[in-house]
Amino acid sequence: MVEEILRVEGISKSFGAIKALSDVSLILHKGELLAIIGDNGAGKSTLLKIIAGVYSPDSGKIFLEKKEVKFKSPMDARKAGIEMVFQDFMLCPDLNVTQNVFLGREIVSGEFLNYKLMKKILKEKLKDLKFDIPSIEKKVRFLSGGQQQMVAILRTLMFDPKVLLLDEPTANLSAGASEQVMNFVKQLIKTKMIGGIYVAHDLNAIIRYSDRILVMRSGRIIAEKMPEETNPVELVRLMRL
Amino acid sequence: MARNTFYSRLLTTIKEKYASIDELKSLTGFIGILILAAVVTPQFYLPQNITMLLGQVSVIAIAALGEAFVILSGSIDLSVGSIIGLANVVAAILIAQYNFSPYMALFSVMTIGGIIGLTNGIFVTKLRIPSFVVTLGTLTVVRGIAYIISGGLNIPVYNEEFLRLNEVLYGVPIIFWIYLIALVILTLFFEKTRLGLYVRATGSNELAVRNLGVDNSGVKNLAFVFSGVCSAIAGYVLGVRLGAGYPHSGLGYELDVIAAVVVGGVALTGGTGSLIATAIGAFIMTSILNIMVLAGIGGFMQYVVRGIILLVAALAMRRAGVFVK
Amino acid sequence: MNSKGGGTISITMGIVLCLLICTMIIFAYSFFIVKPAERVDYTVMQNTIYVNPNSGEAYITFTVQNTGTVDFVIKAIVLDKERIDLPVEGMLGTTIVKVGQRAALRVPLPHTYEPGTVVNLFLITDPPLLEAQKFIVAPTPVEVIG
Repeated sequence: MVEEILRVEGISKSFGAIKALSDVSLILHKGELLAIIGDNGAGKSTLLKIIAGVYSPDSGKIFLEKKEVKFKSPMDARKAGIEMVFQDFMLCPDLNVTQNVFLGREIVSGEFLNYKLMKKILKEKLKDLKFDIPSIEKKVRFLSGGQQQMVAILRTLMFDPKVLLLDEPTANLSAGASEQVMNFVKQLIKTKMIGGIYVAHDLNAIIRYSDRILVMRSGRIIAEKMPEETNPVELVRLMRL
Repeated sequence: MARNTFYSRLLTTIKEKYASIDELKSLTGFIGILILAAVVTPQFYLPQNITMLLGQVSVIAIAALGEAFVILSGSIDLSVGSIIGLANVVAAILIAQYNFSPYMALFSVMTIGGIIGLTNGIFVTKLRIPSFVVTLGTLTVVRGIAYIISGGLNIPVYNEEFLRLNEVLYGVPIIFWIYLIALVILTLFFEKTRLGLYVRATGSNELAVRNLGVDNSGVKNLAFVFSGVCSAIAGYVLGVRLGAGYPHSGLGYELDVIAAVVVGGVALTGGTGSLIATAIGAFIMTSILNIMVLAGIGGFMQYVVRGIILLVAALAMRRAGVFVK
Repeated sequence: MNSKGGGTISITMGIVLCLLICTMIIFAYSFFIVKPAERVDYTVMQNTIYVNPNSGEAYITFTVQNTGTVDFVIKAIVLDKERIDLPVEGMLGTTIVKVGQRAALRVPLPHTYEPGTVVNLFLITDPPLLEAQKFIVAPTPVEVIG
């Protein structure tokens, strides 16, 4: 059996009178891409944001590699090895690729930024990942949507993450770019033995790329399906039941 | 056919390079103005005129350094003109009436400028009021304080050490040397430190920066503090030029300062631009004023021309896609 | 790898601390190192000489605002080159002017002046004006009491 990398136990979260999550538990294994589906308001985004340290849960525990972790901020989660990719890329269009990739974790010598070293590390990483970016000194605003999302993913990979959270990573991309991004992510998760959680609306893509599917409704996980034994019709029925 | 695509590709590359280097557009404009000056008013290039121009540009350019930080971080600071006035008055009072050394007086007004800047910042980041409104408020309050502590009267300064700062050193006014020192230090900070990078990153995409765990509120506060401190230095330098503290000095300077920043190619939406570009912007605005004076164009017309230049600069940037986010 | 995580001390707290230290330095400097300059400075306002051509009576009225940093006493007034030491008999008002305050004076003059002319008024104070400011001279019009 493959080792677990992330375990979530009994997470609940309310926003005022609205109960966003009630008693949610899940296990994520190394090298696994877990998909979470559900209608709008089912709680998938909230769950992802709790794991990423954006919100703190009202109750429940998170274990990373079997050790309990508590995140006060996204920075804590990033330090622990949990990285998130957003649908709107979350890049700074006016900074270049290198600056974006290292944003929040720049390499400094003394008080000054060491761009030389950052570029060197980035180039090695690109070679290692067989990653294709036109120029690492180009401002991100001059890149295409697919290239921008690749930069955002690249940013999460710079410091060898343990868990990758993907919040609708292809929602703003063309079909071709989506395929490129998802193939890359899938291959990466397998080769680096990272755990991945993937939230999306495109059920065909989910069946195609994920290893396991969790269905959420009204803040609870109500079903677990294997992609090879389900189809979009069944998934929609589960989501809307 | 092949030739065609080669040229069009080359053109695209040049266009992209041109758009990606922040200083190029404003530098082109400045060179245009220098050529215009050579044709219309050759006396522009007389050494004494250049020296005077450097003195004139100092006040606006120093304040524009701080304003550039605020605009790059995605906010705006309208209180610079009032901080210039207050610093001018306070420096004069400290030197003339409290026997402060000119350097201690500079340190004091810089601190006061920093405190006002921090106040602006906290209203924007903690109380979530748009910077335009906050600094419009401090613009009025700070000007009022300048009138109150001076009693509305002018304060002449007879301190020789202070007045000596108005002299020329190696052909360049000492106050312009002060500006150059500030420019070098702040450019180093802006281009080479992580906080400097975060200023631009915050202006470019604040939400992303926050999600990555960067203290975006702190970065914005820092930008406002820089603006306050720079405006205070500008007010002090203005005092050196005037040899006195005038409570109404710096009135309306915020517009000249913001114009210098924008003409320099810093986008009002934040994120793009540099301090060198801002310096060029300050030179453009001051040179045009100087050329108009030399060409005998009246004071009222100058307002119109300066406004038109600002509009043209904004249009040029829109074409380059700087405003489009 | 030298990659600091940040968040050891927030930027805003750092700024506050820095400004506090600067403020303390300034206060310490102003309390222990420098003393306010003793500088006499004033503005003369509403200065007019009134003459009565019939009786030959003449007097000057003016207001002084102390814009310096010390109180001063008006020891004498000088009209063109003629010095009149104060106080004189028949004078109205006080010769002591406190910092920031105004004092109005009415001083009878020993002889009359030609109406329509202008006489230069200069004050001699204790402590005296600085060398650099010796020329605070107020041109004073001569008018007929109507």
